[in-house]
Amino acid sequence: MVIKDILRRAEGLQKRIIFPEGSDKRIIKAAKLTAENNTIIPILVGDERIIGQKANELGVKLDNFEIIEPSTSSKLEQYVSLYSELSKIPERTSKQIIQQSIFYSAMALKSSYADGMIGGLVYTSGDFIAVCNGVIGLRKEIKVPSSFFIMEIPSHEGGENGFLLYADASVNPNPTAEELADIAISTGHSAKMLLGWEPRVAMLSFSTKGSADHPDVTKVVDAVKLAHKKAKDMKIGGEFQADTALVLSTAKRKIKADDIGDVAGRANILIFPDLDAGNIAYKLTQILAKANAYGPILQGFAKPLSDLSRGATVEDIVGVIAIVSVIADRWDA
Amino acid sequence: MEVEKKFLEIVMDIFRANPETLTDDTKFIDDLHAKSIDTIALIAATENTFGIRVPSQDARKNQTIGQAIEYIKKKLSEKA
Repeated sequence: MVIKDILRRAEGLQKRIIFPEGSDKRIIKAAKLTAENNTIIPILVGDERIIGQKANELGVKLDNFEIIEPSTSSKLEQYVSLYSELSKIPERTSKQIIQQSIFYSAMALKSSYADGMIGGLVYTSGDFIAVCNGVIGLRKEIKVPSSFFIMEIPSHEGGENGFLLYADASVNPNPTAEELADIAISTGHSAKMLLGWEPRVAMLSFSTKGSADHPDVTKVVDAVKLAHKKAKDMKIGGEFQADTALVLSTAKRKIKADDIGDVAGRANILIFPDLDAGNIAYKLTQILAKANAYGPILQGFAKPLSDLSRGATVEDIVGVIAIVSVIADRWDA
Repeated sequence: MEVEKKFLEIVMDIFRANPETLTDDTKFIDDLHAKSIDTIALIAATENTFGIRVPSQDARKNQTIGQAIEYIKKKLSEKA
């Protein structure tokens, strides 16, 4: 349901989305489907001959596509020079590196030739994130990339009409307090940009407002303080146990009335203290609450982009294209 | 010699390494402190310079400069 809404909102946006794995048939099909309703203007990067051959096999006409072969691109020298300056790698070797689709695409996104980038069918998530981090960089004041899941929970009436965002459930195994604060802020921004929500971010722990004393609790308490300092206007609360974050009557029992704030019992974003907790929670929610989980969606980068799982279907890719297009459209909002 | 020379040039450029310190036994991770992005850049530059495909699982098995050079030579001879 949430994906249907995002697909509808993405129609007509005409975002220039660049695909480093342009010769993959799933990419060509998904790009065609989303170009037809004007969600995107696809930019496929790769060997022109192979892309043409694959499109032909699929019966796809590439009339409204832009195809770029890095080695013959008119932008090659410009990107080589920019990359050399950024990486401090001399131009002779930068030229060899930039001819690789993923580096070329990242440079095209960095220099705003494209509005967004989607890749990861061939590259591992770790490699894809490393290139995006190294070339495109992170949003101002954000020091770590992360990811979130959109959870659609039929039996839950709270959150945002039954929806919650969970983070981080796939990138950072054991974030520091500073990284946890960044994950909270990034997820708040993502909720605003993608879903138009007013974020109410709960930083989760096994303790509520000092009910337990442990270094793991201190980490979350410190993260809440840092997040407040960095994002003064964002509603961020904690440290909370999950029931305190989600159930108002429980929050009222556990927290003094003058300290309850806007987040306790009303959270629409849950920030887990580490990857164990985040990953276990999203899978348990899926199985026990029959929830739909959409993601992981990358966040924290200086430009709109997303990773794909290597087993992604055309339908999955269409969903990710819509998500990146909507985020790209609201990027400056 | 040509393969060695070209590959060492790439390694020098990516890791800002002094050529006099590089030997066949130099390890990418332990000695040159290679991060993920360095490894991906090294694979990209190697593929484009020599016109070969280097799957990332193969690249990670080549832990030293000597092993990488042998791997490239083997790939080139298979291509020929």
